[in-house]
Amino acid sequence: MENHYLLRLEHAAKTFVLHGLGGKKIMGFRDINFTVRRGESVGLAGPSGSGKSSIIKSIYRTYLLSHGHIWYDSKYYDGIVDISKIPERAVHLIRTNEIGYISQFLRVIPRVAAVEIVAEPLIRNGVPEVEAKKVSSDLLKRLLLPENLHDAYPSTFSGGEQQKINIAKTIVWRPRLLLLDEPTASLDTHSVSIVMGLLKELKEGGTAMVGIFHDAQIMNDFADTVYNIDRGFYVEQ
Amino acid sequence: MTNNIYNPYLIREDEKLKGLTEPYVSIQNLTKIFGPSCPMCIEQTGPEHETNKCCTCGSIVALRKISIELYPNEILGIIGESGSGKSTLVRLLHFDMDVTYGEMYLDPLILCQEVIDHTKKDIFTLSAFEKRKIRNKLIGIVYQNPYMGLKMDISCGGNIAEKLIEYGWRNVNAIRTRAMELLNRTEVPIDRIDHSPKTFSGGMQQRVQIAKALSTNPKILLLDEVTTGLDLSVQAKVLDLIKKIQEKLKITMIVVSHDLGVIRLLATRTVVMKYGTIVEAGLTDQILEDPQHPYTQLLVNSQL
Repeated sequence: MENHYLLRLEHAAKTFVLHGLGGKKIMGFRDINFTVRRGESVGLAGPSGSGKSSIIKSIYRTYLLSHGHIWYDSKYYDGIVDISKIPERAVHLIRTNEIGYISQFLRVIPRVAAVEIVAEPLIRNGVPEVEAKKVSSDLLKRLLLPENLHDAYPSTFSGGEQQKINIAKTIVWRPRLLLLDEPTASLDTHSVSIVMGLLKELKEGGTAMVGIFHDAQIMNDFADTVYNIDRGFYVEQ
Repeated sequence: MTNNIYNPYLIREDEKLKGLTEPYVSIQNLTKIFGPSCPMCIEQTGPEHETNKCCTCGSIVALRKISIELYPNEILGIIGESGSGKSTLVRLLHFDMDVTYGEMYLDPLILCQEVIDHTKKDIFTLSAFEKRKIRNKLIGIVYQNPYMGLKMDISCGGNIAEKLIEYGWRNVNAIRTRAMELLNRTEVPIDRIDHSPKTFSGGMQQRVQIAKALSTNPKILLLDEVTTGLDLSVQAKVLDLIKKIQEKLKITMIVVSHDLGVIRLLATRTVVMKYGTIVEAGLTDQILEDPQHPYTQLLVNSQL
């Protein structure tokens, strides 16, 4: 391979068709091109509604692309695949093994303890339960989640505490590519700096990231390259 | 945290060997017509005609040429309104009814090996005896209505024993131990083992059904609206149980539900059905956040 990219968006475009409104078309983003290398962090900036989240969701295949390609160099597949085209089963396997996504919301099965939620991806992949729980508990401790909450159900948590679970349950398995959609929006400054520290550690370990942060300070801290997105188009910076 | 780039545990060898796109179970053109059926049935029904009833012969087309693939260790969600054919599909896979036409193939290496000696054969064409063998060995089912899955005039342990005996177990003590182990796993109080399920609450009945379905270590578990009608706290418990079982036992599951929340939490892939047809299939989050078909959009936008 000459070009050692991990992720490459090529003329990516997304249009939503709303059948309920007589087939009305809404543009998500158009002609997005960028490349993410191993261990690189890319930031997406721009006003609300400019299509940043849609781009991230398309990389995760939550949204189906209308045009273009999302090339990803998969370890599992042992080669480059187009995430927007490969079968759902393959996407699922890549998601559970390589690509992590952290959104602003926590969605989990009710009445499962916080530490179990975080340990789940490890246990699923064969880590012994005791060890997985210990790793998870340590991570939650680092995120300053009070220890007496580790065995409680997250539905009773505050927004910030829930978000810590959300962050922990993805970074615990160290994905190769991490997609971040404002993960720090509901956190206090001290927690934000801890999260940024954890992200930096992941980055040093080789994880590539694509992230959205509204806070310019955090964005500067996080990104090697920032792309400004405005009304679905982008301007390089 | 160490500085390993990859977690060594994260590539599962079994799946890697299996390849990425090789299905466990492949179902093709599955069709079920109730009634006399005529050549026009398929053409005159479906979402574009907004009916299930063939206007020539009056037959009800419950399933129209469904093709589904199941992969190892995944949960497939099926959503759709009442009458869309969800339950019929599940029951056909459990051989409760005969198919009108359609084919089902099981992975010859993993699933058929000890069950039937001929590989790559359409399962629906096998004899009733062989189908029963496959069902006993591979498939478990939990019905929406506990009265369909359990016999209410025998004890809860007896219900589980019945399935085990059909499977070939003969030792009474072994059967009882197994039943207790299963009830323990599904969190049914062991001291109720000799009581009739009639005296159980709905949630407990569902958990007995799950215990019964799991008794023979199936590879495929069919869950038909298991949480419908249960109160929220019991629903949460059953959902958690299903997820845990799936993770521990690595069973492939089909979860039928009209509750999008249940599907979101459990299923990795989801199929949307209407008038016996699959109108859309995809990853669950894609179906729920970027639905393509007008019906799926309507369904998702109607969610509370």
